Amino acid sequence: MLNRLMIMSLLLAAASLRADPPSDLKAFRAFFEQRFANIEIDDHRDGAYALDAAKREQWLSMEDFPPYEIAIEAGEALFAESFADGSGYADCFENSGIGVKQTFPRFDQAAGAVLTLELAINQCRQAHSEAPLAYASEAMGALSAYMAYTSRGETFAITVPPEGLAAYNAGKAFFYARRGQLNFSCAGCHVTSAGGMLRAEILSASVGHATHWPTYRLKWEQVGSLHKRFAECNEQVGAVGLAEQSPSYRNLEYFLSYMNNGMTLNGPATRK
Amino acid sequence: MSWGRLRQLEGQALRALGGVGAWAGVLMVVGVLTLGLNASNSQGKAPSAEAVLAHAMSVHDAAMARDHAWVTTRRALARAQDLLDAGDESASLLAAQQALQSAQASLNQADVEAESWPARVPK
Amino acid sequence: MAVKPVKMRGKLAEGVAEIKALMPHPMETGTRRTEAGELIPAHFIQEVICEHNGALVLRAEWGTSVSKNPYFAFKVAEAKAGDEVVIRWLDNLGETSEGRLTLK
Repeated sequence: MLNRLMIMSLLLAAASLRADPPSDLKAFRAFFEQRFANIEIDDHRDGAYALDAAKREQWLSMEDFPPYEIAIEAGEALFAESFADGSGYADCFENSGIGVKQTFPRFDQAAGAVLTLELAINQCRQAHSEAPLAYASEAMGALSAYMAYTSRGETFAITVPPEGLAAYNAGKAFFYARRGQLNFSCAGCHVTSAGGMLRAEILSASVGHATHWPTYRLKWEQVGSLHKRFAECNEQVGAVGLAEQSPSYRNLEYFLSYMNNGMTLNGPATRK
Repeated sequence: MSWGRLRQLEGQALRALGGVGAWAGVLMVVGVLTLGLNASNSQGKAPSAEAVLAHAMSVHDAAMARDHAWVTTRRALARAQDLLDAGDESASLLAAQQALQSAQASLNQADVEAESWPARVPK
Repeated sequence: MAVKPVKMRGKLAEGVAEIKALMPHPMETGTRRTEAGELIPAHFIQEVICEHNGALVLRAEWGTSVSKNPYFAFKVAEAKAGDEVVIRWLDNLGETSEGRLTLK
């Protein structure tokens, strides 16, 4: 019995490593298409609000006057401010930084690591002798919110070059591994149990988890990043949360965003 | 504590927790038993709280390096340190032992998960 | 922190105007502490006044249980296009701000 299990897991491990990102994506989407036959994949960008009519109604009434509006306005002002050397954020990004969020995260060949939007914002600042912003700060949240807002309606088309495969696989392993004293994996709740209940909340599907960031969580009373949510989730299952923009979270964001390829960006968003 | 009793407890834990989180049950049972064994060993040459705390910290760091450190370890380490600073050697030793078990379980989880995660990928 | 104006939206239907407002304000309870352990002083909206064409239609007394950047919605009866709705707030530090909306 044990031998058979060992052989099985070795075969499955081998199969998983042979699988490439496009096959992973196909299988991922197929899983959710089957689990939620009445919901379009793209609709999952609204998370739990795509799965519960009552929650959706409450959320839509908030969208009339969303709490992230203040952050977008603050972000627009910050984005327009010049650095001390006369340049600005527009000089660091393609298309002057407007409508570029869907191109992140990407694999930075030169650095040999995943580059997220927040990391790029701070790299831009440092390249122009400005102090970096704390990732959990309102300023970073505002800038990220504004840039996400300009990318609303765009689609994810994340690429994984051969050099980026290791980072993608590291993110993939993180996503499927159980962690914390509660021994839960990201997949356990958001793939296997998606649509089910966790205490009093409905578990949203992973397909759509990267589209709506940054997010104004009512719990945070401010706009926060996907990495902040990763750390929060990890702590909730008893695993020590990692720092924002740590390599492991960047790899996880890379994998997750790739799994959201083809989906429409709808950040910033409001969540409970 | 006999092996028969160990298997009985393991079976109970697995049944109680079901498929999901079964490993947590196994780990917790193993942890509880390790504590029992530790207590009986300490009747001979008792390790110092400081030594156990240092050991627990290094195992916790090893788990951290693999992104598998636990919150319970962190809490127990803090508690053990506070008790040590307050001069309560025996209570600190107990907390340090709990921290060590938790750290060992978290490191074990890292090993187990490195092999078992591929099975959960949708085909 | 600079005082920000009240953002307003209004929808008019059958003589009733549904007003929605978002009021940027820190709404500090006075019981929170900084990382260093110092108490953050209380700073919250105490009074909200709403006027319809200059006449008082709503007065609210708020306290520390209202969250940061309060969202506030209410309805005004006997409203028609061209009417002006004003929301004004006063906080415990004596700061004040307002928002004005002309109904369409």
